[in-house]
Amino acid sequence: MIKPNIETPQLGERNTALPLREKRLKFWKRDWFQMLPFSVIIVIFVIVALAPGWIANHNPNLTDLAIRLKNPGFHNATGTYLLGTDELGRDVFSRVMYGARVSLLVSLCSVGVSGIIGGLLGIIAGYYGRIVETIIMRLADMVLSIPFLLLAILTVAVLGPSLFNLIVVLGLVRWPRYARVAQGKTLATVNQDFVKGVIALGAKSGRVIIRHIIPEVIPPLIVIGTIEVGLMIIYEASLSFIGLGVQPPTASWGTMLSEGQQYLTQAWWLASFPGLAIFLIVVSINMFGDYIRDRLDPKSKRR
Amino acid sequence: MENEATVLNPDPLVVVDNLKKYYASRQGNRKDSVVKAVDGVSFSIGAGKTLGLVGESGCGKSTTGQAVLNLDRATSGQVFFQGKDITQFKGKALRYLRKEIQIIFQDPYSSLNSRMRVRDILEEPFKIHRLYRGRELTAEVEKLIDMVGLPKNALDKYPHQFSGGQRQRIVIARAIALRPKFIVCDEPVSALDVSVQSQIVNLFRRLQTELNLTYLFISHDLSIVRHISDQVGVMYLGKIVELGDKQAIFSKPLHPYTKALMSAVPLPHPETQRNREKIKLKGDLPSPLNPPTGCRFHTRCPLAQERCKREEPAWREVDAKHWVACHFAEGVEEGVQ
Repeated sequence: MIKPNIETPQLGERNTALPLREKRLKFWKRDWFQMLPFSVIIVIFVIVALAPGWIANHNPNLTDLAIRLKNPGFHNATGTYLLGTDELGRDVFSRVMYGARVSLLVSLCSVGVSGIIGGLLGIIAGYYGRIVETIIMRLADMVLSIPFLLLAILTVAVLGPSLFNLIVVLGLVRWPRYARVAQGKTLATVNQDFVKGVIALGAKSGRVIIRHIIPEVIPPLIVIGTIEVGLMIIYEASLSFIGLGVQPPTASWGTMLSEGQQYLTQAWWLASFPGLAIFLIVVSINMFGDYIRDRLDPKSKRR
Repeated sequence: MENEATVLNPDPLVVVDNLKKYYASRQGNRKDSVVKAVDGVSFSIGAGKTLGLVGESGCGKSTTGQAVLNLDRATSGQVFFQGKDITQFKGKALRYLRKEIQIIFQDPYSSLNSRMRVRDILEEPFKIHRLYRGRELTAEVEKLIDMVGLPKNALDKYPHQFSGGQRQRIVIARAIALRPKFIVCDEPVSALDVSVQSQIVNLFRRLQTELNLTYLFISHDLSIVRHISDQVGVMYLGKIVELGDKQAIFSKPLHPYTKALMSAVPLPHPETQRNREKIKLKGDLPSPLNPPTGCRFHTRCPLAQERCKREEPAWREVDAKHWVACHFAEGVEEGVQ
């Protein structure tokens, strides 16, 4: 490779002592302090998803048409309906709690599946190049060009609707996004001198990929993953809406959103509370993703 | 091997014979355009010696360095290391060879993995070749960091906590970890401050005597090449145009391109600098996609004549151990002045 002989600007020895202003800022920059609200939300979310029965005070699937579409805070002999009731008289609060389980399971698993498939294929494409790259990346383009709903309907038609199949479909549909980023980052990393240097030391491909390329590729994938978690919750909602995802009466935030939107003018709480739950968790996971990315970067000031 | 290489060094460690590296260029719609980055380069380096390779940006110096190490597979030609043609090495044999030959890159900022501590960086060569373990490994790494003149506490820092010169020392430490015999230094000081450059060059010289290293020292800075080399090769557009002992090249340059390079080096005394003859080259380096006919330098040569456009100059020994590719090498002295 021919390199231009441009003099790189010199960086002096970094000053390790903090100036006063930075010291004062340091308290506010503390990771745990910044991350506290988001961590709390995520922890609550995980607890709720693992054991919704601890918090929910009603059976989420118990219908009672006598108390349909009641306001939040409504209470009768069976107890308080903190977030009101839905069109079948089910407790919205309990359904939001139980819905967390489905949403967490589907979004995290499908992000995991697509992230691992996409990340690995992208790294292989970027590292080996040539025909391997062409095959993988064109395959990615093909998957991206197939309408998501069509593929979902096809898969569900073949495999039948279930939570597991939902995860498979979402995983298979979303991997190209990770593959593209992983491939680009791999290409950029392979061309850096430190990778060439390690190859010049006699390292095998496996070592180069595991020790030097994967650590470079993971941080951007984490950021995409955290964005995708939100998207997966929405996708789960749309698939459940057309009856290909979670089957009623099982509560999921997606199904609650889509059912609730029909009653939006009469009962705002039906769609608002699952919506709020999605919003809170997606923001928290995104913030957490940024934080993890920064922690993985030794050059970051946050360390 | 009937070339100048063997003549220059009777007992060479590295012999490069007619090395070529072509790249297919897919620019535009010309299908068969080929960039001849390195087009028939031959030289040899004696054990414990340094060959300086100079030339302007884009002349193929770095490509030569990487092709010599088989980091970039040569299109044709041979590279003999200790008598074996290493251009054909693959897989296990190639990885094993890597213990003997190393490379140091220009940019110390991208040469080190910023996610690894210096200790891990320096342990890596030993781990790759499964050489040391536990306490032995720690001792070896501490020895390395000491050899390049850095304190032991540097081991637990990250590369970004060091200056360019310090980082280059770490790169050098990693390169000498496996006690190689031959190191390609690809512009190792070009990215550094002038004040740091001399320290690093002196480090290279010290390590050369301590470890009996052989260097291929690629640089565009003639004063550094003069400082460190035993022999010098001057490259222009993928070919070596002049090759010889350092004294011969610097005291009596024969190729007009070498003369031009020399006259671009500032002299310390302002008066001599003002009054000297300067050869200014016209234009830029021609594209290696479409190199000039005949002598590749004729488009910019102050001595160029009709003959230079038609005929490629032969590679000939003008003085003892002083080779040049120019029709008018004997007339350079007079012709330029």
